[in-house]
Amino acid sequence: MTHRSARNTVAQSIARVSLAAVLGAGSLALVGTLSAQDVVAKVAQPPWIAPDWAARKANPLPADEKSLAAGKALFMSTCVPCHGPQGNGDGAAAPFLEKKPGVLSDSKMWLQSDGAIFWKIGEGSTPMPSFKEAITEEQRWQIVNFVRTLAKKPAGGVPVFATAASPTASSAPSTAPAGTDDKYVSRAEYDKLKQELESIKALVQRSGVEAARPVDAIDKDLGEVKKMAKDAFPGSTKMTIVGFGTAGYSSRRGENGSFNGAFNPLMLWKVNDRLLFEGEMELELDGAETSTALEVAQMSYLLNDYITLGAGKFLNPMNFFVERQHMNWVNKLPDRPLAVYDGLLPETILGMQAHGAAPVGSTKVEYSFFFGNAPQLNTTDPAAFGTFSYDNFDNTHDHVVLGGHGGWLPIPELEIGYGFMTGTVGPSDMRANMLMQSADINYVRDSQKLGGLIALRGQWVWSHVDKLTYDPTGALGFGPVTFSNNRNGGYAQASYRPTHSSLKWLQNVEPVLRYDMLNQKNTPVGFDEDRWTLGLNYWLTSTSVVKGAYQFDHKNGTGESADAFMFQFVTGF
Amino acid sequence: MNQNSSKYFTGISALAVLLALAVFGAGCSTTGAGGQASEKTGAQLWGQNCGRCHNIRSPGMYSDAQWEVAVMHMRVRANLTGEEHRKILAFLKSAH
Repeated sequence: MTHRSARNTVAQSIARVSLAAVLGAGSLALVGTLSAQDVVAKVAQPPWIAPDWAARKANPLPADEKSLAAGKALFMSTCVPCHGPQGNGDGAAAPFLEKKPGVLSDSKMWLQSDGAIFWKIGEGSTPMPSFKEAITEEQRWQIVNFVRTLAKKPAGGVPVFATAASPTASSAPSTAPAGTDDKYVSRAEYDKLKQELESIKALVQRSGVEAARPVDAIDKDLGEVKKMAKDAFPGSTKMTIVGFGTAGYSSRRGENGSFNGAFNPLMLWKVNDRLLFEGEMELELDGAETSTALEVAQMSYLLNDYITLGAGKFLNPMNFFVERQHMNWVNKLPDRPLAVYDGLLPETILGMQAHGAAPVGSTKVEYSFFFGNAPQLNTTDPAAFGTFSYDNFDNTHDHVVLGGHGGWLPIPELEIGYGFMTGTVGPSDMRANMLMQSADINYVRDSQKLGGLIALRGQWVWSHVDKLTYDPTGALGFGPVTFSNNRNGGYAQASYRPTHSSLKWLQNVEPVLRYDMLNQKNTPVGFDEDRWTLGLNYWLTSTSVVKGAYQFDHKNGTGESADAFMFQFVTGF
Repeated sequence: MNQNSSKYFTGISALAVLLALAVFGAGCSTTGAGGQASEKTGAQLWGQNCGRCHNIRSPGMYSDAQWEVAVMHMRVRANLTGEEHRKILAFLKSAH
C-alpha cells in the first residue's frame, strides 16, 4: 500500500465515521422529537366516555362460574391480540396501533359501569373494532363479567352506578317527603307536580317551535352530505396504491460511499370478488440514470377458498425471502441476503401458477406450482460461465421451467418450507438440466416472558447445473472449461424488539443479527463469501423504520473482503 | 475444498439451530392460539397471519375500500385461505 492510498483510506474512514455520527445524531434527534409528539398526542386525545343512557344499562348476567368461563374464552380469542392475556394493554398487536389499547387491568376500570364497558365493546372506536355483529349481546355481557376480574378494586371503594332497572333506581321514592303514605299524595304535592308538568309542557312546545325553522336547512345539509358520501364511494372496481419509499446511504470499503433513493409503488385493482391485478414498479436512481423496472404484473383469479390461479410476472414462489420478505419495510436490514436474493434464485417468474392453502387438522399447509420461462445460462462471459441471467424475458432457446413450493405451519408462529425449480437450460448445442432447491424456516413470536417480539428466519438454497464444457473450441480464449456447477448459500437472521418494555422509546428499538454466505469458489466466479451483519433499527410507525447496519465481509478466493456501513430510512404505505 | 465443506456445515448448523429454537419456542407456546381457522376469530387470524411476515397494520391505517383490496392482495401473496380472507377483512372493517 502506498503512502498516498493509505492517507486516502484514513480520510475515507474519517468521513465515514463522521457521517455515521451525523446520521446517528439525526436519528436520535428524530426519536426525541417523536417522543415529544407522542406526549402531545396523548394529552390532546379526548377520553372515550360511554353516553349516559348506555352507562345506566344494568348487567342482566350474574358473574357466575358459567358466564365467567364463557367470557374468558371470548376474551382470549377476541380481545387478547390487542389488550394482552392479562388485559395490560400489551397484546402482540399493541405496538403497531395508532392508539394504545385500554389497560383493562387498571383499577380505574371500576370507575366505569358494566353498561359502559358493554357499550364500548359493541361500538368500538378506531382502531378498536365494533363487535356488535361478531359477538352477541349475551356474549358481550359475559366478556364484561370476565373483564371485571382483571382489575383490582380501588382502595377507596367502588362507586355505585345508577342503572335503569337496578334496585338503586327503584328505591328513589324513599327520598319522597315524609308523612305521606304509599297510596296517596297530598293536595300540596299534587299542585306542585301539576305545576312542574305544565312548565315542562311549555318548555317542550317552545323548543319544538324553535326547532321547526332549521329543519329544512338540516335536511338540505344532510342531502349534500349524502351526495358527497355517494360521490366518494368506490365503484365495483376498487383500486389502491401501496408500496414503499426508500432513502439511504451506504459506504463499502474500496467503493465510493453514496446516498441512494428508490420508490416502489404497487398498484392493485380488485376487479371483482375473484379477480385481482397487481402491478409493481421499481423506480431507482442508478448513477446518472433513473432505472425503471416492472417487478410484478400479475392477474390472479380466486378459483375457490383453496386455489388461486395467477399469470404474468410474479414473485418467485419457491423463494420465500423474495416473495414475503424483500420489501424494504419488511426486510429488517438495509441490504438483502446473499444467494437468496442476489444470485442463485430468480426473483420473479414470467409464467403462470396455481397456489393456495388449506387447513390440515389444527395445522395449515400452503402450496404453489408454476411454469415459466427458463433463465438464460451464461455461456459467453468467461468470468460468469455457468451463472444465470434472470432478466431475459424472451425465453431464449425455448426452455420452460417447472417449480413449486410447499409450506407447513404446525403452529401459527412457525412455517417450514421447501421449494424447487427444474428445467433445461442453455443453447441447443450445450443443453443441460438445472435444479434449484430452497429450504426455509420462519418463526415469529410475541413473548410475554422474553418481553418482546422475536423473529428467527433462515433460508438455504442449492443450485445445480449438469456438467458442461464452456467455450469448447477455445474461441473465447478461455476454454475449453469444465467444472461441477454446484453453488449454494443462504442466511440465518435473528431479531428482537422489546415491545413489552416499560421504557417507551425502547419498545421501538430492534437489534438484528444476520449471517449469510454464498459458495461458488469452484466455479469461474472464483470466490466464496460470508458476512456477519449487525443492525439496529428504530421503528417510527409499524411500517416506517430507520435502519443502521455494519457488515463484516469475508471473501475467499478472487476479490477482496469489503466491510460496509449502511443506513436506510424506509416507509411502507 | 475442506474449507468449503466446513462453510457448508456452518450454514446447515445455523439452520438447525434456528429449527431447534423454533421447536423449543413452539413447545413453550402457552397462548393456546392453535386450533383450526374455523374456530378462530378474525382478531386472532389478523394477529397471527399478518404478523408472521411484517409488523401488524392497524385497522385504522386503511379505509374499508382499501382493506378490501389489500386483504385480497395478501390472500394472493401470502396464501391465505378464503375463510381467513373473509374473517380478517370483516375484523378490519368493523373497526371503522
